[in-house]
Formats: sequence, C-alpha cells, structure tokens
Amino acid sequence: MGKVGLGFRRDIADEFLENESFTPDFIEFAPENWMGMGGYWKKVLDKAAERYPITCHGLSLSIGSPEALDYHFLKDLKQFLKEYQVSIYSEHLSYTKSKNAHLYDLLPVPFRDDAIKHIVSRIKEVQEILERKIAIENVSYYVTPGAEMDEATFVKAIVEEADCELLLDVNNVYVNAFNHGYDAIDFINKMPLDKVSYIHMAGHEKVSDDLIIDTHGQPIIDPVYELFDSTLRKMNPVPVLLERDFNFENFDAIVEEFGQLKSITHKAWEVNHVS
Amino acid sequence: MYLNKSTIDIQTQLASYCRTGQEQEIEKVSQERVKHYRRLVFSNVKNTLETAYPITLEWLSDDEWLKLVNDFFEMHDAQSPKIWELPKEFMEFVTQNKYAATFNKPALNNLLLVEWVEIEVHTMMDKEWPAVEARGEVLLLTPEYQLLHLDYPVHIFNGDDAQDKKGDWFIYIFRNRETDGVQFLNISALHVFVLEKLYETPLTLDDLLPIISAVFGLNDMKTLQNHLKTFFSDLRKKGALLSKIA
Repeated sequence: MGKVGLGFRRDIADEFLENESFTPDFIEFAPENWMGMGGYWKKVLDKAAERYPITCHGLSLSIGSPEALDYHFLKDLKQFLKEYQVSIYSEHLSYTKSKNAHLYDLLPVPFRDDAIKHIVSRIKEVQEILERKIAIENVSYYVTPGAEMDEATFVKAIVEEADCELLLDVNNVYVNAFNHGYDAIDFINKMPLDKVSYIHMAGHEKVSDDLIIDTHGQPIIDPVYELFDSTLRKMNPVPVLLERDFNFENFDAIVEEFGQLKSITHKAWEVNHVS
Repeated sequence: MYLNKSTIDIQTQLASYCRTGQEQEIEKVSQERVKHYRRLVFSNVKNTLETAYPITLEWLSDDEWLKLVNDFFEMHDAQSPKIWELPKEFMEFVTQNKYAATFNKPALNNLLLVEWVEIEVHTMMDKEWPAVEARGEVLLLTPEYQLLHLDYPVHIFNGDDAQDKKGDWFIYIFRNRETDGVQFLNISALHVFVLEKLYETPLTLDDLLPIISAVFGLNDMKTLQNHLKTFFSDLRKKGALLSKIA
C-alpha cells in the first residue's frame, strides 16, 4: 500500500507534533531550509524526525545549470540525508542558478538534446557522490525557452539515460498540459512509470484563461484528483505527498484533502493488489 | 560540458531577465508569460528579505526599500544555496555599497546588522558547552552569542531617533538555552571586557576582579564586586549565565 505524507513546514509544525488526530505516514521538507541550523528549529525538526519517516525535496541543486555542481553543498547534503535517515531525496528538473548566482526559483531548462546529455551526466555524478539514486521531478513551466522537442521526450530520456528515479508530480502534468495544450493522460502514458518512486499532488491557481500557476497554495481540484486516480491504476504503489506551501489557516480542510488522497490511493492500489 | 553555447545563452537570458526585469528576446518565449517568472522569482527574494528585516522595512520609504532589493538582486550574485542565509548577503551588499550615505540614513548599516544577528544567533548551530572543571563558582555563559559595537543605538530607539545619539553602544545578543529565544542586552565597555574574558576562559568572580581592576584602574574592589554580582545576577535571570553565582 502506498504511504501518504504531507510537506513539513514551520507554519504548521505544531500540527505534526501535537495534533493527535493527524498522523501522516511520512513528512517531506526541503533540506536547504533546515541544513546548518541549530536552536529552536533544530529541536522541532529532531522531534518531527523521531515521530515520522522523512523524504527530502531539494531546491538548490540546480541540476540543469551550465555551471559546475556545488560540491561543498553536496557534501553537507549527504551528511544531512544520512543524519535524518532520509528515504527518498528528490530534486527538480530545472535550474535555479545562473552565472554563479542563485535565483531561488525553478527555471525551465530548454528541451534539447545537449541539455539531456548535460543533465544525465550531472544526475549520474550526484548519484555517485550521494551514493544513492535520486528522484527527478517533472516541473511546471510557463514558457518553453529554445525547445526542440516536447517535454515528455525530454523527461523520459533523462530518467532512462541517467538511471535515476522519477518523481511524478501529477498536478504539474495537469498544469503543463493546460498551459501548453497537450493531453495529460497521453503525457502520463509516455512516462517510464516503472521508474516512478514518488508522487506529488498539489493545488494551483488559474491566473488567466490560458495560464495556470503552480502555487501549492490552493486545494487540489477534481480534474487533478481524476488524473491522479487514473495514474495510480497504471503503476505500483509508491509514496504520495500532498504539497502545501501557504494558506494554512483552515488546517482541517488540508486534513480532509489529505484524507481524500489516502482514500484514492488505497482504492486504486487495493484493487491492483487483489487483481 | 555537453551544453551548446546557444542553450547556455538562452538559460542566461532567462535568468538575467528574472534578476533585472529588463525585457529581452528569448527564443520561443512569450513576453506575456515570462513576466510571471520575474514576478515569482523577485517576490520570493523580496519576501525573504522583508521577513528578515521588518524594522528596516518599516523605517525606510517604500522607494528606498524597493531600490535596495532591486539593486541587490540585480547586482549581487547570491552565493548561499539556502535562501534563509540570503539576508546576510543583503546586509553585506547594502553596507559595502554605502546606501546609508545615499539615503542619508547613517544608522542603516547598524540596523541591518542587529536584525541579521538576531536571526544568526537564533539559528546558529548548537555549540558544545564549555569544557571546564565543574566548580560551582566558575562563570559559564551560554555559548550561542554575539557581541556588537554599534555607532547608533538602533536596539533601543527607532532609526530616526537613534541617529541623533551617535556614540559607542555595545550589545550582548545571546540565545537562552532553555527557551531558545534570543535576547538583547545593552551593556557597557566594561561588561564587554568581562564577557570577552569569560568566553576566552571561564573564570570565577574572584579570578576576574583583579584583572578588571588592573585594566580599568578600579581600586574599590567591594564596589566592583557588587557591580559585577548585580550584572551576573541579571545575566542569570535572563538565561545567559548558565552557572549559579554566590
């Protein structure tokens, strides 16, 4: 059976540590937001780590950047992942650093052959350094700079050639399909689903008739649940994470959303196991 | 390196646009949509800095604050992979580029420093307790701290009022081991000397008295002893002094 987790964030840390009626199967956080930190937040993180299994979703590896990997960061990261016994470490198929400057957000890599080769070699190098496979996430993107192929071809080639895992973000598939006019189910079918080790689900915001922004701040909408359900039926159980980055005021609604994910997950994978 | 120059150029153009907001032609990129990248990237950085520097944000005009953030993001190559460390780079950028003089706000650098050090002391890695002989009378201080020497008392007064009080101001900023809260203590030069001595080597009050007496030329040992006892008693109450005092 797939486990269902929730993103661990400072704003809702108490819910994870003190709310007895809410017990996710695991928690996920960005290592960059906790590495090298002591004091109050280190204690909070240690308490959470005592209570829940952990996955980490990185922000700053910048796997698609032209410049060299940050080896100092990777060394610290490896130690951090070991210290917290992190089961899955994932990163974004994007770049966040350019000309030796971090931008702290996910920019789309040109869908090109040379970018595939570049990223494949970097993922392999990271996997060697970390001594573990990493999962690469299909990111949401609003423009396609210099694209010479479609996204599905790009993502599939990287995951297969790098021999890494795929973090399939179902909401991102929905958002990208809407923004760029392709069929979401067709995209899912083209993915190497046997390589998926982790799934993300989240809400988004439609900002105009032809554009959705992947915000992680709104409830998941029904078409994304439907895409999620149909995707699960094509693959083996893996952990599923509900991502929520802000709008925590109504935590009960988030718990309900979490429950809905759990229910869909159990139904889809119970049927698979029985049959 | 497998990347072609044209691919690198496209990546550089997009990143450069996000940093500057200056529109440029990027292959297969819609001008209408790319604006969202600039908005998202810039607001992430701006929000991070505004969370770190709430007092500076309130003191500066909107135009001044926006100029600092814009200039910083455009001109400074952010080095830390951890965004929570970015405010330190911002403080250093503002100080090095003399915006305090540009805005005629001489207390600006001090205010940014104090706000950053509060974050730094709150988040700094836990340090080992000093390894000293477990004698009850040794004065042990909390190991997570900073001592600052300011020109303006921005820790006491608002920015404008602090600028009228230029002088030598000393602050002891420390993390309470029990609560993990950060506290500020306005102290004298003599206190700074005492704290520095104790952080070098934990001593007893009896060890300290002759040293301070010699350095500061204070010969009334009874008065000095009473003064320090009061000081240490205050530090003990506030959670900075870990050992008990007689």
